[in-house]
Amino acid sequence: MKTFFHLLYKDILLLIRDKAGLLLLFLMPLTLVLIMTSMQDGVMSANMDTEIALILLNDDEDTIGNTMEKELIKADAFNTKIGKEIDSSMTEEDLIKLVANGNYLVGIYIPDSTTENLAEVFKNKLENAFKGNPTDSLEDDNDTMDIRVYIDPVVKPSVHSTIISNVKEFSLKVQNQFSLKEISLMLDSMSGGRINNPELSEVEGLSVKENTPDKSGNDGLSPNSIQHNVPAWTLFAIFFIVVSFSGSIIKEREDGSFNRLMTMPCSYSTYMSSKMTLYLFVCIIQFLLVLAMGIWGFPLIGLESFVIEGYFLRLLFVVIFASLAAIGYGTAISAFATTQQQAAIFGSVSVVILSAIGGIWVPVFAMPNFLKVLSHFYLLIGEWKHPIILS
Amino acid sequence: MTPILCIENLTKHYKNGEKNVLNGLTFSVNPGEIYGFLGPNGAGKSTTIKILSGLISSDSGTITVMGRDLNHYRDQIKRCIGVVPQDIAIFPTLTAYENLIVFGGIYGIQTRHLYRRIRYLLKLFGLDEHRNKKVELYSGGMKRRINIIVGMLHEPSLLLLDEPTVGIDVQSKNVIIENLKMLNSKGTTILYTSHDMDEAQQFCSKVGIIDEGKIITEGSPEELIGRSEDYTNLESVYLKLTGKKLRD
Repeated sequence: MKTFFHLLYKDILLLIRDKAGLLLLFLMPLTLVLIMTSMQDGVMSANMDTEIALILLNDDEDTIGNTMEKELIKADAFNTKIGKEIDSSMTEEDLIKLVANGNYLVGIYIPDSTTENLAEVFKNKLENAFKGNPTDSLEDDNDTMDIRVYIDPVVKPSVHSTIISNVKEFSLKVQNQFSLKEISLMLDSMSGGRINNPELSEVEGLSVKENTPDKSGNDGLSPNSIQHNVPAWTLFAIFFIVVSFSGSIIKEREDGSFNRLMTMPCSYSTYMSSKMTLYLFVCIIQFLLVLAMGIWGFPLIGLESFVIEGYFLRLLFVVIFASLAAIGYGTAISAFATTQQQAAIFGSVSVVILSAIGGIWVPVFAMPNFLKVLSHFYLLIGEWKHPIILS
Repeated sequence: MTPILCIENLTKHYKNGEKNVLNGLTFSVNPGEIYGFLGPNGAGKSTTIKILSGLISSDSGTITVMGRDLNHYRDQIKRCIGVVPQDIAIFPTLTAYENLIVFGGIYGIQTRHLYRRIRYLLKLFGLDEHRNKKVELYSGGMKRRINIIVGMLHEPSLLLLDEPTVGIDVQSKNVIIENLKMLNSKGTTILYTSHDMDEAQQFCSKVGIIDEGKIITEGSPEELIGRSEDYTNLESVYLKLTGKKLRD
């Protein structure tokens, strides 16, 4: 035991004297998690969370135009500016220029008399319908009114689809409200006021409610860049100790100090257990630092705080075993590598490759089938829902 | 007198080697001797030291240290022998003091005694002032001295020295040799390899010359020199017996 503690004392001293090694072990994981989380948070926000800059030019200034204006202002997906408020003499050409210059990602133009024309068309169709005359489709060229949408070509296809479907949804909603209002007015006039409160346009019968299924039956946390990146990159960073761990073994082998220790009453297992103990603590400290940054540091730079649900001790259990796996991998590398350079290059590159297979870079479901099978055998599984961390 | 070290018929063949490095090596060292284990490059000196240190094992033959078989009492024997390798084998980013604490602790020396012993040896080898300096900042001679101190820390009965004075200045060499003589006078037996024949002639009480894995002659330096009128010193004996052909 005395031998073990003296070896541990030696390993601690060697580690704290190696400033570059310390930076690699502690600063690198923090930087990695911080950068990857911020980047992914930025990408995800740009596509999903950040409001899309939109300009609306409402030349209609009647029911359809005004309702559309209200709906767009209310919508979370868009940061809507009203063209007439910016420039009362704005024309459709001005709006196109603003979008083309990149001032706005989306421009919507509602032409003059859209409401009036649609009302006319509806009225004729309804009258014909109630009189039993044949009616033409509303989509006839002569009867349709265009709401023209201009989208910056740099917008990604997925965002493009989101914009178009949002605008279509609003226009359909406005059109439905408008047509139902016309029908209710006609019914009112036909019944001579005997139908009480026939405001059919106010009825909202069918709604879509979104829910997230959760294995544990709890409400669960919605996956975001923080909940994904903190555990995933922390595990990834733990595996980077293989460079330092195998390097320290090879260095002692190269400079002869390992051989000297073996001429003393010191077994190979004692020699390895002191190193393993030290690096196990290094991994745990590394993990706690990243966790602390996720919980308390992220909110300071505008990111959401990392949330741990369930038992923290279970999480620690996972970290200990992940650390032991990393130490085992480091030992294997030190056995095969003959120089520190070999160990450093092979160690770092192989960890990156294996982490990709494990699903840290790309979710496992998006991988080809053979990689999906491989990913099941690998520890660095960074799928969106880590079973212990998130449940 | 029972030899402190007895080697009989030792053989060793490396996996990729063409021939045996050791070919029935047999010699013994008596307590209190300074045994010069001399020979050209590739003769088998370092292999013998590695086997004695427990770093590699022999193919056949027996080694007894203080009457005990090395293969059966390896751990006990390791506590009784000190090894000073040819290369500087210490932790360069630790100070001399820290290195000695670590190595002394591994030998199981009691803490209080270890501190006293470290200070004593550091003073003896002129390193006390530099004890808190990192070893990587030491000169070549200072590194050699600390390398030797590590092997002497636990007051071994048998000290194995593999070219302890190679590549250092005369002053450092003098300090090392004087202190090794003093250690020997207090009862430590020394097995020493070197290519410096003058040093060996002055330092050793007995010399064994090894070539092609076996001892070709053995005796005190005076005895060997006296065997022929052609011999003027140990170097002439050595060259006559091992030849002038270059060795790899």
